[in-house]
Amino acid sequence: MKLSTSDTITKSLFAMIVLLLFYPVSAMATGPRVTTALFSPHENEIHSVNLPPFISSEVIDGGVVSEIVRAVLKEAKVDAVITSHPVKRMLMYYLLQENALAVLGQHMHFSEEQKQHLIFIPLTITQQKYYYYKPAHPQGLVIPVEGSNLKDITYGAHRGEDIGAYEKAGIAIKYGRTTALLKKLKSTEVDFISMSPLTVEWLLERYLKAEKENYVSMDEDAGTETLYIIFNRKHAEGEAAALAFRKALSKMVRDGDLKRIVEKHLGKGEKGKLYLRRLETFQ
Amino acid sequence: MYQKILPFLSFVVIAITTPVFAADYKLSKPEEVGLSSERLINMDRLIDEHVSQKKIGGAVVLVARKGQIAYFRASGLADSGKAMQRDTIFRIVSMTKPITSTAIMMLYEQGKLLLSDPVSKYIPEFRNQKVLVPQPEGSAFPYKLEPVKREVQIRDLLAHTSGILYLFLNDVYPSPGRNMVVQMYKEAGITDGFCRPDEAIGEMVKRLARLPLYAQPGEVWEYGLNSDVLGYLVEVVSGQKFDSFVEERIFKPLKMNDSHFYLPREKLHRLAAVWKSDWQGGLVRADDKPIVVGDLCLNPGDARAQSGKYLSGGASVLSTAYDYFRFTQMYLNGGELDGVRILGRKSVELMTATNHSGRFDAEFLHSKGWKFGLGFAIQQDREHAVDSGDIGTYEWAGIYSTRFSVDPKEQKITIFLSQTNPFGHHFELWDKVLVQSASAVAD
Repeated sequence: MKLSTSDTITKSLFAMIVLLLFYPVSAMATGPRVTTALFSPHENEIHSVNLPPFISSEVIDGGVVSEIVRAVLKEAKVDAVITSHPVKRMLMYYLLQENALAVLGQHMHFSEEQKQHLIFIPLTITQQKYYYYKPAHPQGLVIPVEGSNLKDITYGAHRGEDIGAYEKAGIAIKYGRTTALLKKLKSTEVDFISMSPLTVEWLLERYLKAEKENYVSMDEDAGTETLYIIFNRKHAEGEAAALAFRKALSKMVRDGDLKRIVEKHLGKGEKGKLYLRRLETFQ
Repeated sequence: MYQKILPFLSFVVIAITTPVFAADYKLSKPEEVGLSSERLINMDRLIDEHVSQKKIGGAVVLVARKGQIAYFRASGLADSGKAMQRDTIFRIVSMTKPITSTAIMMLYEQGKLLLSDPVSKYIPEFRNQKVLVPQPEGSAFPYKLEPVKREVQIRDLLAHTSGILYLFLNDVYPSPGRNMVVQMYKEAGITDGFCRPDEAIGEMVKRLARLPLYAQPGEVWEYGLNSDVLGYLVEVVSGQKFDSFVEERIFKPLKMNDSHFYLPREKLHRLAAVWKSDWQGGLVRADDKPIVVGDLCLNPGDARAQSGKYLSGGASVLSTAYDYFRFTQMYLNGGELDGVRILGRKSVELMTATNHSGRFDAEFLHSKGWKFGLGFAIQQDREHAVDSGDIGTYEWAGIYSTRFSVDPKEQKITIFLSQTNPFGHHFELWDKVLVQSASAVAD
């Protein structure tokens, strides 16, 4: 549960996020708006949602996760392209209905029967932080594990996000897209959200630059979210592709190839190294 | 005493109830352009009746013929305690669409694009679009996504044959497929743009492009967010912000001095209020909060913003009856006004031609017998129940109750501007206004 995960977060992850918070956004300046590969028809498609700055056509080379996936696919000699969608339900459609090769995503829930046909390879863990809008809560907002003061406040959630702990605490829930949630904080439709600091930083810089100082993170941890590439056994090449992908990912971590990609997106500082360590933990 | 004030009272009554030929508007007497003053009194009666019965707060009606304004009358209230004026500014909403179409046709004439170009040539997100096909109840998945048979072309956006939807029509024309697409729109943060979202138009368009279409391009007439896509297309092709392009290339040359995407502060006092009417005498001035009914969201207060990011090619313009007269007169003149050419005659002919407007009826505003050209609904036959205009008449309307009609054969323009919600009641009034306008032809 997100409200009680602080003890599960390693010190290194925490340090990574602190550093990411101060990471200069200019290092991720928008490059070419789209790459041809993102929109090419292809037999083997890997479907994804936009998750800036990790996966987004607005970020250079599609974002760090997109570029890693493409590099690993190349190394694994898996011929596939990434196609991004604005809504998650399209990922589910392509994966479960059209037996797409794979999807990239988080907050995805499958039945036990569906899981039998899927191969989950974690790509990275993103540390989440709670955010609130300072003008709406000038005295600050604290989220204790069990708090009676939570009954009058509203949590802004992504569809598919685990909201059990919030509901248990009596917190009202409203849903929205990532950008919309930030705007709902400002409009006081919701009181707090949890999100990757890197995502918040990127979105505020792009859409709410003048308001950056008003979006404040809380001290409490909001847990982690794992971003997976999920291969489909129902696709003719799904199982083999998953195996090759896993092997190639390990090799590229060992060879330092991924370090180069991470450094390209996140710089050569400590945050890049920490990000890379996250990848290594999965090998 | 009575005899002393009678002349004054008479003057006031005349001033309020008859067209006032203000010098700056260069008005003509109806008879000079083949219209009957006597018959135009029916227009006065029609509008006054609706005002006195509190069906509408007020209105401005303009009828022009042969290039001259012959009837230009403001009635009722623009706002609480504020009389409607001929220069009152209105949210013209969907009457923005012909302006956007004009911008696209200007780029077409410059050789910057072809109407047959796939939109993806300029906005890559439109590549590889899918069409949502609902599956029978009980199917493993409620819909299938099928590849488009051909890509959405610029022409489809102008003519509303792209398969792109408006959300608010989900309540008007309910169907499983439409509902599924609309739910995806909502999840992706797509709005109709009537409540101005806090984002640039391109952001919305790029998300919209990645969502399924409601129908195969070219195989449906479906009123939708097409003009919003066109507005962004203007930005991509011209390299200019959409509002700058329109202001520099259309508003300024045509001297549409009171037409804006965001109203300057000094003109705010001229903005009409929106009135909520139950059409039975229950008339209340709407406040500036959003009006949300089902999937329709309107926000009268948006018009008070002096700046913002969202530049909707389908809804954002605020304007006056006189400005819109100048815009439509440019069309009636074959693309030019007062020596300023905006479009070539052949482009205007292409946009308004009855034999180019496709096989689908544009049934949202009208009924059978009306087709959608490249920016307007065009009367193609006599089947339509209100049929005072000629074949070839082109029109459109706005959701706060605004309507225009251009009759090329009679060289006549009719503009009705009100600000009343909901708009559903107004079809009859609009049609009666057009009947009065046509009935006044006297040559």
